[in-house]
Amino acid sequence: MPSLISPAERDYILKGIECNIRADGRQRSDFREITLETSVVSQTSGSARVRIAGGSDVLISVKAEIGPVQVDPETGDGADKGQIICSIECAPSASQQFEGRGADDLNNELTQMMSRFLCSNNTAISSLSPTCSGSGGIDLSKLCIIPGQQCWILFVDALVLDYGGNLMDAIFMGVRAAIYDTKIPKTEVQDLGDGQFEFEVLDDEEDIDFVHGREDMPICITLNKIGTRHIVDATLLEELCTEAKLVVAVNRAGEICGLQKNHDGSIEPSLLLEMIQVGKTMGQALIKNLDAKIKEEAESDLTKRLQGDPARKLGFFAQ
Amino acid sequence: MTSVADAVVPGQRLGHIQEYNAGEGTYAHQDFLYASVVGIKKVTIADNEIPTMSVQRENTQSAIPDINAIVTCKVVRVNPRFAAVNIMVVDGKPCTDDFQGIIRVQDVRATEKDKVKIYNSFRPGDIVRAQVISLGDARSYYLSTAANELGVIFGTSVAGGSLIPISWQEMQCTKTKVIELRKCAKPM
Amino acid sequence: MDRKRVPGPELSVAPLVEYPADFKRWTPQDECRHDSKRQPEDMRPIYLKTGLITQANGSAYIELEKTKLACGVYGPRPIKRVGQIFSGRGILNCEIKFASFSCAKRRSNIRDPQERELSQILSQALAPAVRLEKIPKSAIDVYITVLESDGWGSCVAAAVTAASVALAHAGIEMLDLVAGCSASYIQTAPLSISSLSISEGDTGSISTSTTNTNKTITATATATQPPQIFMDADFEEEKYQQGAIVLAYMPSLHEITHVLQSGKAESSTISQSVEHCMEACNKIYAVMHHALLESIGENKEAL
Repeated sequence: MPSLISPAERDYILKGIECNIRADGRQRSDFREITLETSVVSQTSGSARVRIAGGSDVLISVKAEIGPVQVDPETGDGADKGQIICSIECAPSASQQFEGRGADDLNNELTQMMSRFLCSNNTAISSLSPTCSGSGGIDLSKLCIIPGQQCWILFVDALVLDYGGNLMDAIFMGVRAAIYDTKIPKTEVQDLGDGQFEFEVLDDEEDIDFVHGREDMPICITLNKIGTRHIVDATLLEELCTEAKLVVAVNRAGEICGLQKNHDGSIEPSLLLEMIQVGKTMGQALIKNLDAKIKEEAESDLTKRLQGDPARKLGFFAQ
Repeated sequence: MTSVADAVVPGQRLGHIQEYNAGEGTYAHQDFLYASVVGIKKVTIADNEIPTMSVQRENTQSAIPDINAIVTCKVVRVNPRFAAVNIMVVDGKPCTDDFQGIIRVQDVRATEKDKVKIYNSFRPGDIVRAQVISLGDARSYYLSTAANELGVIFGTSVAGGSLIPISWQEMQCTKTKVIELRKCAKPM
Repeated sequence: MDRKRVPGPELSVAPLVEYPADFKRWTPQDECRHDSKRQPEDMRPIYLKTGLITQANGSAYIELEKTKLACGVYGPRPIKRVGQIFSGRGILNCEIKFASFSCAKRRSNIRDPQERELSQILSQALAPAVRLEKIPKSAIDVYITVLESDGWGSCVAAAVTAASVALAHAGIEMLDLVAGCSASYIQTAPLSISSLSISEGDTGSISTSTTNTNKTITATATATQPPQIFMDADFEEEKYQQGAIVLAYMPSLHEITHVLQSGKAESSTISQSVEHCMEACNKIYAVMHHALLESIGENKEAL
């Protein structure tokens, strides 16, 4: 992962973008080819792997665990809600710059951004940050087992295996696919009287729940402002020329679920509004395509399983 | 006398670039001239030229070394290749925090560079006047004393007395009259 | 673990506060704001003063009623961090610290991930305005201490405002001042809780819910009403917000240096709130301008 770029190369990229042609032949609004695969890690409740051709490779795992509910002492919120805890880690093997503590800032930035977009009513951050209702889409109350006591905690962990630009979009696509893939065992709650409850996790393979509200999860589109134009799905070199980045989180209905500017540049107000609009329309289209692919994959897996064939996976790093 | 009406803050529009030249504390952006510091605006009128608009800072930013600036520094460490110094004053303005600089052996004097010995030019504790020749590496600025007015301006001898220059490469202790070798600055 | 200080107990319970019998918590249905003197588009009055920290090169103190922050700027000074590669530009380093007593819940003395992210957001918001190319190889350190926080958004916005005034006060060359402003989207139309949960929980999308019972249809009808934009919301109001936006804006260059939005909102609401925030930033700019000119006046008297 280079960290410096020569003025000549910067100029080449800038002028190309001005003429709507990029180094790899794409136009400003074109994505690279995306490889998506679900159920790749056996130890998880749901997992997915996303590779953007010639660049970023991320692995997302969702693990469901049982834990105590977290109640906000101020508002009493959260007694009947499960939790989602996000984390993003850039593997040291992905780039020389991630060595040691090199990735700390990036990890923290991405993790906080993902937490905000996905679970902004998470109690972990509510001591300060706004308790916005459900921009993440996932119905947390369905994750509760015994109100006021036990709930499911979904750990969404993203591991960056290769870095080639446009990390956030890849991660969010992967998270959507991984949550679609997530199977949570059903639980049976018994009332023992005087407020005592007991529950049992059913270990039958057929007794599983899917995550409710997964259709309304947002995905994000990162728009890079280069010169006076903006592009999507920037490569590494293009990211180095980026003055300002705008991450737009959109859900299926076209509602904006989060916005964040990155990098040390500024954006004109009119351009900002234009970028939000572009992000919104592209995001909606992307969700539609993504959902179709996820469904296709799940169905083909199911038919293979019914026929007794082993599900063949591409595996990690495959193109 | 200046009035508060002439006081400006960063981002304040000062005029059109066709009317004024951008001076210190200002910048030009899309046909207009803006202030970039808090201060009092001033117009300097020059002959045959459009007047220069500048803003005199209210709170001076602490000085930072720039190429060609004359700095006053203190020697902290010497070795055969260079003398390490702390830059304390830049162009007569004190720095809030010391910047690190080095005077390499080839930058000590202008002639007979191969004969220079750092030990015979600087000792730790000497106060040196030098010129910044480059921004150097990530850590230190590179300085030079290759001019008559540049070199040691104050030092103490082994015995503890202050040194006075007696030639361009010798200094004498006021206490013991011992002669020590230095790259002296020509007294100004 | 923080070994330098005596840590508080691991588990603590907030004290029970007994409210008087006629006490009523503010809700968005009250048809006024939490601070009943304010209109939705009104900000809280701002008190801004420079030069209160004597040791810093530049400093500023800002107060929006119960949101109080102090900011000190040091530099430009040599880069302290080891392993920094040579760069022809200066570095802007921001750090924000919430005092342990600043929020409803006690905050730890150790820098938490949120403070680290906010620090990064602040430097991204301020960097476009600072002429870093003028100070090669040097760093500017901006330290912000939050003394009291009444609302998350307003706290971030105030930090941006205070930091840019402190930078200007330190005599650092800047392209423009950066004003920060926050807004919250709050649903003020009366909504019964039960109907809201139906419309949100099961379907979420409007097109399918119209086929449901009558009750749901009425609920979605009210839910589609755009939420009210409350400028500079305080903590009580933030509890009811659907979303919030923080905007940093350079008024005279007319450029947005940072935008941070969380929660769900229609894009029309966002563009409207961006407009509102920019207007508010212009008002804040006047306050910043005044505070900096005042500092000039004081220096003159001292001479």
